[in-house]
Amino acid sequence: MDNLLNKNPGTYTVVKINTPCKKLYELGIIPGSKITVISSNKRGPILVRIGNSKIAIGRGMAGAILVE
Amino acid sequence: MDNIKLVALVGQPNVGKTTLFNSLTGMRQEIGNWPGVTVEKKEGILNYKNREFKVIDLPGIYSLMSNSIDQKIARDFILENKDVILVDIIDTPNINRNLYLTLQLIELGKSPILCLNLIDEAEKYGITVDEEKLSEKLGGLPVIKISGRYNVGVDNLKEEIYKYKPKKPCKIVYSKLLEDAIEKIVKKLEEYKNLELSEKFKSVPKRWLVISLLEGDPEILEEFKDKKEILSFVNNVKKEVENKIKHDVESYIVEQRYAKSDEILKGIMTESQLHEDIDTIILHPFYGFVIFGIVLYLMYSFVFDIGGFFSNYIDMFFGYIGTYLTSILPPIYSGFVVDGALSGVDSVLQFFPQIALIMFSLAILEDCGYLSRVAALMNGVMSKIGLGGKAFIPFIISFGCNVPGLMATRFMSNHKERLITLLVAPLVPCSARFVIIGFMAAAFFPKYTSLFTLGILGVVFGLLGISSYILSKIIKGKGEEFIFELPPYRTPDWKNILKITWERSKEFLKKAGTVILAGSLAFYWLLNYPSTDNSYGIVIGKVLEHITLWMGIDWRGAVCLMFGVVAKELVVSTMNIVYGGDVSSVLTPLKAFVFTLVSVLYIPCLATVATQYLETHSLKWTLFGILYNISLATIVGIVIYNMGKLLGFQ
Ligand SMILES: Nc1nc2c(ncn2[C@@H]2O[C@H](COP(=O)(O)OP(=O)(O)O)[C@@H](O)[C@H]2O)c(=O)[nH]1
Ligand SMILES: [Mg+2]
Repeated sequence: MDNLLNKNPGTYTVVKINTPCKKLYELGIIPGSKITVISSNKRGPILVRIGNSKIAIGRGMAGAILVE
Repeated sequence: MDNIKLVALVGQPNVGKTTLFNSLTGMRQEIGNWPGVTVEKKEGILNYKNREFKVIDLPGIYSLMSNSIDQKIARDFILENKDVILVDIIDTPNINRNLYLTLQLIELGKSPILCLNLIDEAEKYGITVDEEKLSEKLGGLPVIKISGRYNVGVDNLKEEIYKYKPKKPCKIVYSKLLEDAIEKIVKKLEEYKNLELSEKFKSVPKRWLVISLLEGDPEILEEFKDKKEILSFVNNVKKEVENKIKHDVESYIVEQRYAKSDEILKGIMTESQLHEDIDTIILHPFYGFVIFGIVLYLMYSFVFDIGGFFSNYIDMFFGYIGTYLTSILPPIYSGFVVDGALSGVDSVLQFFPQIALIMFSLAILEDCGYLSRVAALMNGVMSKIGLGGKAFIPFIISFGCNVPGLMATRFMSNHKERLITLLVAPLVPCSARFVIIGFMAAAFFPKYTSLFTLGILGVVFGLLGISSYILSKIIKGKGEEFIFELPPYRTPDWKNILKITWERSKEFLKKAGTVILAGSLAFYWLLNYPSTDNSYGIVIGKVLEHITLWMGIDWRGAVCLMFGVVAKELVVSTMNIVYGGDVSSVLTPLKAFVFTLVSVLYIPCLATVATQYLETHSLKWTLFGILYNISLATIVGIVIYNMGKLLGFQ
């Protein structure tokens, strides 16, 4: 289990979300959902895909999403 | 007119609500603001089989929670208009996430008409949904496949609206654990004869209230805050559930709703994944900025070069008319008509090409999906001053002219960030202010022009950053959290783009134009009556001197600043007149530096103020904008002048 910041592109399952931010839920990022990291660089937002939508997540927020 | 039915379009952001709204209502539309906020409200009339319907384009919302302004506006509208016909628009390729909102509407006791929109895209990707089975599973709600942009199924929707009858909504059943908890609390609520809720919650289903309590909906919690007994009962039930599931109930409900959507879609939908990953480059921490730089450069040149070309001709045209009018009018009128009214109209119309071009370019960038990439790309930079990534564009455009810069905030979706940008972007030195800076640099610091310019810009940008940061702390409301959707890239919808361009430029002409014209006349009167050598303006200048002398500016300088309100470049020409042509012998270098700084800061020009008013729709915020600019200039002027004197400058 590790947060999104440390993951290479690939598909993972969300395990836990350590932030009270409702917007993650609203975009379908909930424990158990599949999440695909499209690109992640040393700087800038992390790009992921959930279902058929593409989402940009700030580094702070991405650090709060634990996946495996 | 009294039995005209209301139709409201609800749905998540970017599902094609506005496009559908346009094809339902055609040209019969009215644009305003939702009361008290800078969120755009669109209303239009749909005519079908001799019946009229009033259609409302609600703000895009992900859920019915009351935790953002948009969500609260849409929810209040739905709660307050009990017999509105709801059209729930769904982005078919993302149907499982979109059903989330549908389930909430059903829980609220509504029976919306479902539109499976963007059906063209869905089919292209190979996603299919069986709309009859979907309708069945949702208790017989009408479900229509539609594409607002390509006019597929729009007539079916009109027919459904025409024959709409509210249905008793079906019950959405969750896990046994959750259902037991809900039932317990519903029973508790039923013990009360009268819950004394506010008007809009009086007739909502108890079940919805209970789920909202469990979800921690801010407004519902507020509603129950005096009912301690109920709240503690809810908390106990919550704890029981949390003990079993080992995490919080709020997210449990969310998971349950998604699970429900998946269950509904099971067997009636074929899924398919789309792949297109140009965004790895567009949002790349290096190439992304390079591309954005190029886009900005092109947009900037487009707006100001082409816009300037047209503005020149407009100016020339008015010049001819002015000369002609002066020659035929009696001299006592010609001043007021030509230099007052005509030049006011001239300046309004000169903005028009730039406004139209900036609206046009931003509408294209938005429609093809690039603007949301800009938001993601620039967020890191802009968040340091409390703003989101999209605010970067209004700032850049403001360098050319603040008026189109402020208009560019139209494309920002967050209410609070838009307001802050409207208040601080006028600090960005526009080309007219560069005229002042350039003139003063050449007159006083011919050897150090770039150092002088950098000094001024340094102070201005420092102040801009600080003001924006402070405003972001004191203005209420939430900034955008840094997580957002990047809609797929699409070919621009030209019809829509031209419509947006025309609507917004027209609004500028109508609303801001009137203010600019009235202001020009007022200032003309102030600065020319009773006579130019002894005008009211000079009287005011001499009063103002009591303050401006603290920053080393005498009444003549104050009069220049007053002219600058009409248009900043007038500061320079007025200076030549009031100081008798030889400015450099009157002012010391320190005074010149302070004067330049103050004239860059003190107040944006009349046109900018008018645009601020047009965009905030609020006299209060416009006045606040003016006052804080003036105070900022005064304080900074006094501080720098006196610091300079202490350091031994003249
Ligand atoms: N392919 C396709 N694109 C659409 C359709 N409806 C809207 N769009 C595009 O989707 C984007 C968002 O549309 P808009 O009406 O502004 O959505 P809103 O945010 O819900 O108001 C725009 O780029 C539209 O051109 C449609 O039926 N098919
Ligand atoms: Mg819209």
